[in-house]
Amino acid sequence: MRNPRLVAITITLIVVLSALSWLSQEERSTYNTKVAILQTIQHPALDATYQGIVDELKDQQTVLGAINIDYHTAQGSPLLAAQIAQKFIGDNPNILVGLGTGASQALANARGESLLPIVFSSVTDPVGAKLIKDLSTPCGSITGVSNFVTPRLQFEAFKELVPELRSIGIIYNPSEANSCALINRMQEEACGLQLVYAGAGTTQEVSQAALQLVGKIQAIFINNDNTALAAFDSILKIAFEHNIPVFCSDTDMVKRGALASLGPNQYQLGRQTGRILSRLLLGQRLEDMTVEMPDLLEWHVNQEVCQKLGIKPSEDLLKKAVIYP
Amino acid sequence: MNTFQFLGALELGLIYSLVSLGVYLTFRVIQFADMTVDGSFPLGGAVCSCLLISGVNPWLATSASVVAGALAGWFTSQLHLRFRIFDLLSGILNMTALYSINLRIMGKPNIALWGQSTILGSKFQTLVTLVIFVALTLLVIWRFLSSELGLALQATGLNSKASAAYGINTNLTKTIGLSLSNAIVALAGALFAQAQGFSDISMGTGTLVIGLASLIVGQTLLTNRRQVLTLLSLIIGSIIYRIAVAIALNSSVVGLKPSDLNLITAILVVVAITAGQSKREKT
Repeated sequence: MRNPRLVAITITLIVVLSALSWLSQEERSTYNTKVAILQTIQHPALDATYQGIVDELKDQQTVLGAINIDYHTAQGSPLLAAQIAQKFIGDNPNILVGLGTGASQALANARGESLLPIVFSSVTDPVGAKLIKDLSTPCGSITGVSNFVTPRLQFEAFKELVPELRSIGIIYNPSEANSCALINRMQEEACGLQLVYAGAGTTQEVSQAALQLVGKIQAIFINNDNTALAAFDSILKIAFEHNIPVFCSDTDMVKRGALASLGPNQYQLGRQTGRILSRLLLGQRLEDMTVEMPDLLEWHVNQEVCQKLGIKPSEDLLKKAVIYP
Repeated sequence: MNTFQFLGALELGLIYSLVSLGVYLTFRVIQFADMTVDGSFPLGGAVCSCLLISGVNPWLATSASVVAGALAGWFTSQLHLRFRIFDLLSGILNMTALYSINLRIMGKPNIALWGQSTILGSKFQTLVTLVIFVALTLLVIWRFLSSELGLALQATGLNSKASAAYGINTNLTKTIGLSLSNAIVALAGALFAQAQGFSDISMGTGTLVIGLASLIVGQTLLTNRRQVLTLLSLIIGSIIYRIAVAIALNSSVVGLKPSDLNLITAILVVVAITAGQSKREKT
């Protein structure tokens, strides 16, 4: 052995820290209700969803009692997601919540044969991720809220706002499962629009992808792609320089400069998830719950951007819209 | 830390011990700073999961990923030997190329393996199978390094010019070292995908750092002149590292967050290296 003292110190450290963490385990188990939340990656949309869950549970405190929420993010690493999921399963919470596809898959896998309920949130394609068999049949041990919006509804809304729209450019990261699932659906439901795709593997490549699209398309559409959303400002800059409107699925982006958006509000999605959690905690059986789609699709329009681009929306389009500024 | 976490850390530690065995072969034996592993780990997962969902026998699928890893290693060696590209750069170029190749193989960024029969079964079966895999790999590597070819590899690492002068084909030894190393890492990737129930394009990020950290922890604690114990120390180092991560996840008590894990890894590696250094200076 190279260094017996070092070995002895390391082993002592490991034993002491394990004991410490085991002791802290005991304290937490005196709480009445435990909800463990695992988030795939830190991102404004998922962060807003988490906030929605927390706020909804806090609002229902009188009915549900005090709830201990254990929250971790896996920072985009499947390995870390696996270890955090294992920790959660061992803690034996009342409900496991997965924010995003990676987190939900890690939880489903770590759970194995046990019947701990899992509620996923903000998963675009739960069937493709093999979390559930199909959307209409309740599945015994897992349910949740998908953030999928039928592309046809979005394209029709965009065409109403910009009647001359013939071609749309889509910027996405090919390594995001949610984006790839959406590309297939968008292609099927294009409603006569020509779709041009530009891939960007990192946030730095997003502006290049946007420049690539200039001249080929009349508008840009960002559909829930985390990479493109993270570099949204660079897309806006290029779009404004070339008088190109930007549509998106995330309603929070309209106040940042997108022309319009038809989609679920991520924060409201969190609240919808929180409502599922409270129904479960109050005794409703998970076996009876089918996967939910977003309760509410909101149509947001930015009037300032309309003026800048010379678009004149009709009165009744504006009537049903949330308008900025 | 509960039993569940401990067993989970053990399982992941065994899978990643294969990564540290692979990294040991390149970084220590042939002294080649090989970054390909960040690409060959997900390559193993991609090939295996793609074949599994097509209905191929799980053992065949896993073997195919080993072959794929060997090919990836071979490619890095060709970049270095034939095109005379600096070793670190060869690995980085190959790793970058493999990202696109892995996406092509999988067809999409994430393949779910739920409900697929794999070579791993229940939790208990998984642990037993992994222990067998790791033990077999250790045995194979140990016997290989004691063989004439294995000694030639070690000689290449110690002094490649002198070895060449003695008639050792250093091109061949480097190629074999790289292929073998990446084959083992791809095997780890295939096992990880089957254990986790999905293969994801992002599962390779940070593999090299994890392999190096496990290697250094293991070697500092338990290095011995005997080859077999050195190899064993890699496995123990990997398991200790995973347990340390599990402990860190429970340390909200002391104010730590999982996002601090990278810093903790860096500190761990620095401590391990400097502790080894001070001992060396004394002798």
